[in-house]
Amino acid sequence: MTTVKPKGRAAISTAVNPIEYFQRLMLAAVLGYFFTVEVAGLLGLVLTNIMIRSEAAALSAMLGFLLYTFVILWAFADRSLLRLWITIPGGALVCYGLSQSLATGAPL
Amino acid sequence: MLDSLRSSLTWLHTWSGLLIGSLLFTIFWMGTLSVFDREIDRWMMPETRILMPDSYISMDDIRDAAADFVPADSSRWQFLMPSEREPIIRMYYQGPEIFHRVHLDPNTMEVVEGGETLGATGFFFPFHFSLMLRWNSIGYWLVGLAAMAMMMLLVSGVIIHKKIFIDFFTFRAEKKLSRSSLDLHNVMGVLGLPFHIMITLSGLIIFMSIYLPGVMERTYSGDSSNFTNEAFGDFVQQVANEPGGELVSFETLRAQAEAIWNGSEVYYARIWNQSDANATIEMRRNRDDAVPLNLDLVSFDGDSGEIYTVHESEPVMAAQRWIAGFHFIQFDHWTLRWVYFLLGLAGCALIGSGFVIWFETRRKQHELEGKSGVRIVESLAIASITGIIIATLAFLIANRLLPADAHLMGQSRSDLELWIFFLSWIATAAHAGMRSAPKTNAWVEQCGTIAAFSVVAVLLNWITTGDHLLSAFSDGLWAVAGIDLVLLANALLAYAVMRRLAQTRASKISPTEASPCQEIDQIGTEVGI
Amino acid sequence: MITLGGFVLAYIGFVMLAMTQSRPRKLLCEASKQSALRKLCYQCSGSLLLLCSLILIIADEGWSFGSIVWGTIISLAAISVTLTITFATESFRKIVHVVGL
Repeated sequence: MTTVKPKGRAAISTAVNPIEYFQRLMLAAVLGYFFTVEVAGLLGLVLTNIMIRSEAAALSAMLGFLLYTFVILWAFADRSLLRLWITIPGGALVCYGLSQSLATGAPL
Repeated sequence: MLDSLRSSLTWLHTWSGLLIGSLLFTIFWMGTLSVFDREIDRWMMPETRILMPDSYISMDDIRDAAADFVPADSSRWQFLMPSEREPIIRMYYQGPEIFHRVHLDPNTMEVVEGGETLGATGFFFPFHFSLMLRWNSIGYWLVGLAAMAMMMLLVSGVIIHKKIFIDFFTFRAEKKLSRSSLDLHNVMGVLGLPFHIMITLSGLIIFMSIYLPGVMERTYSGDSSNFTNEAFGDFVQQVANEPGGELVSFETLRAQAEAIWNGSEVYYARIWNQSDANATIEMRRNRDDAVPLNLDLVSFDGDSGEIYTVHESEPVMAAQRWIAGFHFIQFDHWTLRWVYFLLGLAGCALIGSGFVIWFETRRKQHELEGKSGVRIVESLAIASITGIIIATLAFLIANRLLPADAHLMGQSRSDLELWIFFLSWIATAAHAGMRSAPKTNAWVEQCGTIAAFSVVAVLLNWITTGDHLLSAFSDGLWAVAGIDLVLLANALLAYAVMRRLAQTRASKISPTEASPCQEIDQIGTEVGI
Repeated sequence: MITLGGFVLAYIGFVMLAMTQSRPRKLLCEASKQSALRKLCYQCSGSLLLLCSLILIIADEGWSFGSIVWGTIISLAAISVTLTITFATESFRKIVHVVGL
């Protein structure tokens, strides 16, 4: 059986290591989803100051889909895994915290 | 992840395309068919091939006709006023056990009897957005996953397409399959881009409450149960558990609603808890004349006719309704309806050609190395593309062949039609799997089957209903004629593809083929990575 | 009818734009070198035709329907130009020659 060294596009397909791939998949699909919900949710909460609550929620949800698309691409495009691990789960937690404190009216 | 943005996204685009391609093709195919769902219904339910009456249709006549079969204590029943596209009154009611669907002839107010079938409005359309999988909304979530993947695929596709402007009009059909399918993929993707992005994003936005409920929760600081009422305006009175009187005249309610809407008509009415003291009647405004799938509704008390709510969308929800309306295409616009159908098919071609690129560029390499990837993916592609088309045609044929009272082992006639769809689909997958590489034979045979089934469907319509093309045209049955014409066009196209593939197969073994290394190399550099 | 007019304008506009690209040009007319000024003229006229298509359709259907009609018609026009170039190369070449492009 002759082995052919794939070049070009076929080569790219086999070049990624599974552990890194799995991390990025989790960051994109799972953590990215929660990041989107928290960021868009915080936006919604903030927007209630200038529009009716149902309107704020609808607008933030619609923008959320655009944000999520970007996050998925970013999770695979960014060279630095560390940056992704800090920003995505970290950002989600920060926004969650802000949402909670804004909701209860407690100072940050 | 890899050396450059382009190579990382090429990797992502390739592998996610491969994983989600079958599901995406299914959704796009069923969505494309759903553009003409009401027309397909006329074809599948010949008893509904009625002409719209010229005279005024009174809602009170509908109410009186419904009293014959809707249980007095039914918690909910609803009906759609007839239209050109659907010249019957489509009614649903909650019975003791199941939710029934009934058709009334607007000319006579009689129930139209026919073989039980889901039709396109009952199968193709819901299959498109929920895969008919209702357990814990898993079907909705799978469709949502596919839609988010599609958004990512569209954006990444643009980023990785190095020569996007240079190759704008490039489609080299005469070159080998790996090249021509890449050209087709690029052309369908780039030239159809505004439509593909809008249709995908709008699909997600329609179900925003299902897909991003957390956003509503954060905005409402926890309890978001008011969101639906505030955004969508639904209002149903709490059940009083006391018997109520007779329902008020629907025509008076209709007149009030149409006055509120400056003459715009009521297209839909829903009656909640009709025998209760707190019966509620909703009337909704027609969506024929504008893009938005408006939520304009008036809710009345069923006994007194008192108005409880008048709902009209606020600005952001109005935008959401425009976006939803863009996707649903319920408005009256025949040009756009055909345009959507063609662009939907372009989307199907986009997804299908993606598969072809993958296995054609790896064919030689996998053959030499004894890998099974190409064989598996090609079988999957055949089942996903020609397979689902065959299953769709089998569904239409079953609809014409099954007797009206058909049932088997507890399965109703409409269940049997679904069984035939899914079993045919599985059969095409088995057929594709069993055909050994190269699988040109499987493609040729399935294309031939598509051509044959399409013709058989048209013939069966003629035999079982008498409404052949000429007769349908002269009787003004545009829907039936249209479906028959599309089926015949489909047959011609499938036949042409089959002939072309058979020719390619016959001339396949040529002694001057380039060596494997060179070929794969070429593709790599041609793609511009 | 108006929509058809919009489609035709878009189609011709895209043909003009296609003529500024090397591959379609090689297929459709003998001259392979194009001066920068000529290229600019073609691009401007092509874009102008697309704009006319937009104006015509919006005038007829309004912004709500019109944006959808134009947005989808231009896709179909571009795809049609591509398919014409690929499958009707000879006829297309003759027409282009006659029109004097």
